[in-house]
Amino acid sequence: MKKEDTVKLISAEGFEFVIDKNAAMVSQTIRNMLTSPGSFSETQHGVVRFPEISTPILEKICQYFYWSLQFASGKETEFYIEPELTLELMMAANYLHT
Amino acid sequence: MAMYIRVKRDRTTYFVQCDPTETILDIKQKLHGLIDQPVTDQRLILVSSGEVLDDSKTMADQKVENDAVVALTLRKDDKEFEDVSILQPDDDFYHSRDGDGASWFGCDKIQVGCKCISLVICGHAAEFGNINIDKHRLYLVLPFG
Repeated sequence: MKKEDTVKLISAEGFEFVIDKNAAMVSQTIRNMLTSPGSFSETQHGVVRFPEISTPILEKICQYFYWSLQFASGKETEFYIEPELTLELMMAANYLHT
Repeated sequence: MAMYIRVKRDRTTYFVQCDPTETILDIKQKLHGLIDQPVTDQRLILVSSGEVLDDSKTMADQKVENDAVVALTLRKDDKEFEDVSILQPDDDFYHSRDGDGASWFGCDKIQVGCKCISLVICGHAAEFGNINIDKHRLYLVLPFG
């Protein structure tokens, strides 16, 4: 695994999630951040901060990215969401265009 | 992609794609690309069982499944391996946000009707018609795309 192929997502509390770029690109918002022309710091360093997304939500989102890739390749499993996370997750999903 | 595992140490989680037939050594080599630690200075522990994972065995052999959480510990300066350390965000921080949902989300307005709930977030309206209610909780069904 090469560093250049991953991106680091940082939650509100400063927790870090290192995921594959192709997984992160499931989110249209992150895709735009990473692929937009010009020298944005996000594009250059592969680090995206989400000061408004809490750690459990960001982790769930990362899990969803991978689940989504698996689903796309034909592995149909259920994606479990804890009831107490639903509302917050919905807000984040809306923001991330996921 | 066959599966992934979540490798955790302190405040960091690495999502690592892998295959059930790959060995633990393969995983350590992947991690080597992300953190500058040689494979001999990495130790992986399956969190659900507390088992230290063996380099020569495969993921399937040691029952490391999709979405499993694996703790990473490192050895620095040829000393002993450090203890497992996986930090969690402060629980208080999370719970304190539970009560006042509307203000927390930056939600301007919540309207509860008998068949749907509508939220206004940052000036955008969103409506959720698929709602389940049991005794104490209300569930909104996510419009995941």
